[in-house]
Amino acid sequence: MKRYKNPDIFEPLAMAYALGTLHGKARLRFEQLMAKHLYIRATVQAYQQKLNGLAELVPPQVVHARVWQGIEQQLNLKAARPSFWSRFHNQLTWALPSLAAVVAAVLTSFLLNQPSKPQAYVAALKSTQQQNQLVLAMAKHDEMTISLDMMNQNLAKEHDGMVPTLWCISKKKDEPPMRMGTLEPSKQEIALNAKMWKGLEGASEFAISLEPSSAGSQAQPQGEIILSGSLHPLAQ
Amino acid sequence: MDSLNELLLRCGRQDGLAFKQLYQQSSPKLYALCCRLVRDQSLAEDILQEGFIKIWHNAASYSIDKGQALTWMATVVRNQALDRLRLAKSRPEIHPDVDYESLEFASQAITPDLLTQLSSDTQQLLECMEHLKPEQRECILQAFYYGCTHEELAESMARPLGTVKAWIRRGLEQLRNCLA
Repeated sequence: MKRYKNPDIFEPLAMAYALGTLHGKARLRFEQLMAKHLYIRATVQAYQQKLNGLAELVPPQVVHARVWQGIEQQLNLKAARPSFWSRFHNQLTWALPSLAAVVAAVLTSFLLNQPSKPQAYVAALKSTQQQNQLVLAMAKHDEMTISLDMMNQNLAKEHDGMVPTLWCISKKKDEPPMRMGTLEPSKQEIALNAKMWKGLEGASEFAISLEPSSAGSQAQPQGEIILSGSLHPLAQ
Repeated sequence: MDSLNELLLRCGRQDGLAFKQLYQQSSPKLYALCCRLVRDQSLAEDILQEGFIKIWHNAASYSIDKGQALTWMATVVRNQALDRLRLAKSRPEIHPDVDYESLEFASQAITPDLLTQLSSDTQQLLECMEHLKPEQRECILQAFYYGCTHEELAESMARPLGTVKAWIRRGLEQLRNCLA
């Protein structure tokens, strides 16, 4: 057993183990040593980290959707999702496409000359996963509607069985998001009532989540946030 | 876009959304690695699924000082595949339409552009591998990507078993000195 304390003995074995060329009884014997000795485990791990960098060179292959479905089912991930706020804030760290930057610049120029009471709000909602996905939303006081420009996307079709739902996120972190309505391919307008308009005054963001069609009208988002963007007040 | 390292760290805090993003960004490469190791797409899917479940459960033990997230995940998935290979009584037949033996992607295909995208550890490893004799290098790469045993390598390269074992042993010794 003493000889396994000699790096000239155990290091080559650790490398062979990491590479996968240690077989049969030799492998079993080495695994017993690993279980006993931290330094052998650490050496194996170090070589695994070095050699497994070769995985970076493998050309990627498309994975069937059933693999993720199996993982999600086995881990019960939908039930164990982080809180809405945690998800929302994580998404704010995503890189923004240049188109969104242009929209933001245009919106800023509007903001320079506005009176005290906004008559409209606009937002460019950016995808959390696809950099080229964008939805523009405009809430108008005189029409009491939110008009959505889906940029030729059909979110409902892309996410079968899920209903894209628009939420208004308050500037106050302790206030829950306000459900504004669902997005439908045939009707890209959401009617506003006085309470919803009032809610926009204290809002910082619009967000679109995917809600299960069977869930009904939930008071808070239950599904994944797919798009979000800052809300900008406009004067007319 | 969040880096794989950041996503894996967030998985350690049980962030399901980060896990999904991590899967989306890393599974194509890890799946390709599984396919090469086990030579069977259905089995590779099983291994990938089991591997990601382990990744989720063990993500809290990952830290940046343990290296790149992809490498860490490749270790988990590859160990899973090697365990399955050892349990199997026989190795699956190679699918006739798929060239699972090629190592081109790990040699000629490495352009200077690709090289700069690789982690520094992997760049160092590739530089060290350049110093190996071609037959040592091929044996090590075949063992890594295809899980080949000494016997399989001896057969495919039409060389005595002892010769192949010596190539691998000396190749690993050289790598050890170079990586130290």
